[in-house]
Amino acid sequence: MTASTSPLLAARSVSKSFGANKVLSSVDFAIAPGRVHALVGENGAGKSTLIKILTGSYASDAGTIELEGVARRFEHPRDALALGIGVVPQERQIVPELSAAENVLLGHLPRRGLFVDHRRSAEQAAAWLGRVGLDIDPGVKASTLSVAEQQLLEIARGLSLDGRVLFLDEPTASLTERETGVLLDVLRGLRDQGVALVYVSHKLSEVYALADSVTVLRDGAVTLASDDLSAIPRSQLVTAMVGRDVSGRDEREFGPIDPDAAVRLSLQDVSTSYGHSGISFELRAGEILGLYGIVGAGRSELAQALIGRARITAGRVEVDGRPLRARNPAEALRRHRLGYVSEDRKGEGLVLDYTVRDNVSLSILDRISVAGTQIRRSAERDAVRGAVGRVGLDPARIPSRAGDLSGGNQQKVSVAKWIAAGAGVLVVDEPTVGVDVSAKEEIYQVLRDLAGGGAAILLISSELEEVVRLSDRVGVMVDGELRAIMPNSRSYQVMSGAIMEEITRIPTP
Amino acid sequence: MKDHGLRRILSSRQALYILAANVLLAFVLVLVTPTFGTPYNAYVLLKATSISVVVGLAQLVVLSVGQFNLSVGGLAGLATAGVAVAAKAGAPLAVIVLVALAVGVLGGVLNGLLVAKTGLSGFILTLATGGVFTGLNYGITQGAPTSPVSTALEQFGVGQVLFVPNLFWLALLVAAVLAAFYRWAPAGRAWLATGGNAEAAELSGVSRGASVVGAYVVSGALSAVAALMVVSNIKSAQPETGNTWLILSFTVPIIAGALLSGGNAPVFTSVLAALLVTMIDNGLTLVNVDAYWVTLLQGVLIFIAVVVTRSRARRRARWGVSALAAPSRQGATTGSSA
Amino acid sequence: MAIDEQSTAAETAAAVPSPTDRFAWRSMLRIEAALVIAIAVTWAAFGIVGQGFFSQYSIFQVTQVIASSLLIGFAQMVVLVTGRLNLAVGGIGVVCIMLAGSLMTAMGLPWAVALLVSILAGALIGAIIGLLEANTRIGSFVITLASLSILTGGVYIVTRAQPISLPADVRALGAAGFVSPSVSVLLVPALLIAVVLWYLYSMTPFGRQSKAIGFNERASSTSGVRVKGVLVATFMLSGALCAIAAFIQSVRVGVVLPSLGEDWVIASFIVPVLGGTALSGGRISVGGAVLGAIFLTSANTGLISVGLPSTWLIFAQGAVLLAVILIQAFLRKRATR
Repeated sequence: MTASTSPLLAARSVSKSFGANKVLSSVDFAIAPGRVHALVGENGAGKSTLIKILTGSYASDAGTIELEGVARRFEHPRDALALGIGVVPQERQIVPELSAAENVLLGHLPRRGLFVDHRRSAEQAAAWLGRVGLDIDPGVKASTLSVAEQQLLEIARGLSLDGRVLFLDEPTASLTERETGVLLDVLRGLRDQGVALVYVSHKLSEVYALADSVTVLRDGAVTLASDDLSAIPRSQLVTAMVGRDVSGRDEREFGPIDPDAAVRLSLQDVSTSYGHSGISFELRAGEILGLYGIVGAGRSELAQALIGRARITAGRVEVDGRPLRARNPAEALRRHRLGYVSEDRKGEGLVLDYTVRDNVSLSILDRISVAGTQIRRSAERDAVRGAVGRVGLDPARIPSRAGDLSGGNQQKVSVAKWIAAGAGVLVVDEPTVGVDVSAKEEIYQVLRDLAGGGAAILLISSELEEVVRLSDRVGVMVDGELRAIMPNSRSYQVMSGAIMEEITRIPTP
Repeated sequence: MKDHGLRRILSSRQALYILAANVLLAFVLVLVTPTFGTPYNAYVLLKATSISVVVGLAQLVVLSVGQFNLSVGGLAGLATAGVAVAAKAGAPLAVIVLVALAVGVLGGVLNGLLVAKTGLSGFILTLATGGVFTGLNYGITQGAPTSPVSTALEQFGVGQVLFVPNLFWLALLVAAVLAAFYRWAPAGRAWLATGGNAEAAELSGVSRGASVVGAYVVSGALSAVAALMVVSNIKSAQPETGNTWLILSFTVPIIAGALLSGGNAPVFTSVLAALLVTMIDNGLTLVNVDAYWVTLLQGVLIFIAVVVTRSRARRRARWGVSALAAPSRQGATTGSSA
Repeated sequence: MAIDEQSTAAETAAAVPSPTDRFAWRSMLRIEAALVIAIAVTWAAFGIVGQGFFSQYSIFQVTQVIASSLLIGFAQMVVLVTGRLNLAVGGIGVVCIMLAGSLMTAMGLPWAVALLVSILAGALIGAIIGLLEANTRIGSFVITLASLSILTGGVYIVTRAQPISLPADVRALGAAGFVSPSVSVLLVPALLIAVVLWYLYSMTPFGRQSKAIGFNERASSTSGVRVKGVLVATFMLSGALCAIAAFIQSVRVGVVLPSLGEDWVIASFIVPVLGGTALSGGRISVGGAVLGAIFLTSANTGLISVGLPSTWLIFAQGAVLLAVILIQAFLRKRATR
């Protein structure tokens, strides 16, 4: 830390646990005014928790927060706000029925005497909205705005705090290139004015374009911290994030795909009510097709459409040769043995309050019961044990409550359910988010075994390395379109380059 | 900004629909029964409407912060019991009014603190407190009415200004104050923020607890006001006051387009909605149709209103979970995921 | 106090898996044990202090009230499991019993047939409500609130608010009992149904699926549970139970009153909630509901036996419900620490 930029806000040896889960271990993090500090790490690394501690939403278990060198305690976000520390969080924080102006100025509407001054609100809000490039009537109801406009609205809110420190958590998740460019300019301007900015993003290109300093978190600990991001090559950054040397890695763990294997899933020119268009690909038995894309590309939505939660508005989808007819996931499972391992493990993948056993057997209850009346406990036990065994989960965990398991074990349960259900085509969405390294390897093996047994797997992932390691072919999705499908050469260098090129290429209309 | 006062009400589609329904209904009723158009009937109608307005607003303020209040009727009954006690003790009007308001406010404080501190949903908590209030009411009054209460109050209930009953002016005044509160008071905007997205509001420094308690307190006060209006209208303090208000308190705001998940407060539209509901009641009575048709029709109206409102607002509200246990999970409109 | 902390703490997984003990079991048993103790205390207290608390007549009454309040509670309980609620229990009950009553008196049908028809009617009404709940986003609160209004109003219109006297053989059921006669026969169907419900929710796919939906509907749906079907079936079951509850209550009184059901709402929540059925869905305790009904009825009767005027009973009910909710919430918070 150079003397001219002493930290404005700092976390010193901060630790935080939720129950027995240690989310942050002795993290040091310091932010200086007039600098953009990037905070990077994979999902589950602890970034959001650190931010919540620094902005007053959480209290740390150990360590201190210092503002200008003085130790502080935040009881509530209000305390942090009062000290000029603001955050634009990742989750949408729009109040739908209020106007755009009121959303921007939420919590500090200008007053005239005792009353709210709506005219000045509109004026002030218009100024902030203009700065992020949002050209809307400040009086318009926030619920009528598009997702991208809402994101810009929240950024405008963050700016309007006019604070000394501003955290931005994935601020460009829903923005186009052009909008992102505008935002980065605004942020540079703020930095030049002396504001301390913390920028969290998965998009490394943005990070390199904007940030001065960087801190990398992995599994709750700092693995890299530097004042000069430009001196750090990307591969070193990624290594710090991922924990393995990923430069020039070359894996040949698979055999080639049998070209005569049956086509289990085929999409021809498919459009959905979500807005996908022209999606075409084939998936054969034993194959893992990795779908890569950035947040907002529409991959999970495609999966939801396949399992019947949205309409296929054009094109043909066939599963095992038969046209897809599924009005809900139950039909997708029963008619086509099509399953979906959700990216939202806790919200959609598992019933947290259920035991492992009940979770795994949930999809096969009809099959293990006597004419739909009594559940045959022995059949259930066998089915559950079998599935649990195949995912490498300790059978002693079967009576445990799913919510009490580690992330990796939870994910295994989520997959086990579909194994028990005999899914032939499985869409696996972000299987290793928030999963520690060893469990990740185990899950990879499970997926490979599944494929080896004849299943067809559609892997949705935002981790480039994971996609390269697992897939036989890689598809790149951008904005609801499937841009390209390429065979996987298994070389991270080569594949990441090719994939990134597809992502950033602007298609000729 | 283009939304000020009258223009804002009229620019609300829901208000226009209801206004049209009112006009249409009035037209039909005038044709069908000659009594409807008489000045006396208009007088009766407006007095009844004024009570429906206040009852509906008592629920509306709680809906606006994303909660429910099932104790509106019970608290009104208890306030009436307070009135009875004060009247029996020979208290003057001012004291009677104060007693009623005190009961309402205290009940509201109880409701608000319970909801804010326990994090449980207002639905089940006010279901229970409603029972407690009703129980206290019957315990105190033994189920017996009290009259007379106060000649001054009765005179207020009977009187009119400019051919409009005093009670209706009172209701309009209450509505006007509330509308101004929601529009111009920082607390009013804070309540809407809490109802619309409690987490966003909290992160921006708005206190959810304060909003919730405030809303329940105002609701309690309004229950008391409605109770006083009833007393002045029927000239006695009946323990049954409020018995039938549960459905009415929801019908009015729902028809007016209030979101059950919270975040809006269509005050003047509620006035129009109250008029509609009361007019139906009034009209049916005049045509000698069974009074129970009103109960039935209220149910139908709620259905229609909800369907109409839902098809316009794209809000998610799963009442199974959020109504019962969790603190009101306000639908933060999330962006699409990967 | 950190705002999100508790919710995230509950959600975030522990690195160390929990021991074989299941969280749900422990708290269930605690509630049921507490209820047993409460019942014992109540019986002891009122037995000593009350006038004729343990008299044959009094016990007979108690068993009858337990029967009806148990069924009213069951009608709500099955809906609560899925995370919904049914405010229309009273309305369904009164419609069904009015139907049964008319069939018995106007058409002279035997009571068993009339009862069966009324159960089917209850299931039908439940099916309609269930379909609305499953296929629209209106929400069970509004749907059942509006339905209550429609049903209650409708019944009064059709029956002109006239009570219906039940035929003699039906009234005899109300007087019949065994154990000479201390225990009303009406308790038998109630307990039988309790056993059936216990079996349904602990041994069958339907029960598992209902609980899963109550815990996490989205996960259940993605896992292939036919959510809509389960919801419709649940409301049908609730409707049928309302019909039976109304029948039992009317047999007790000997006449079908159009005001039946008006006080069912609070009662329908107290019994299951007291017994450990979670308001948020997922957790259900049939045994707890039975114990809860016994406790509440004993307490009610006991209070009357010591001379508490009936006007204060409503207060007592509300206060008990409030206390129970608060205590349970407090216990649950401590358990998830």
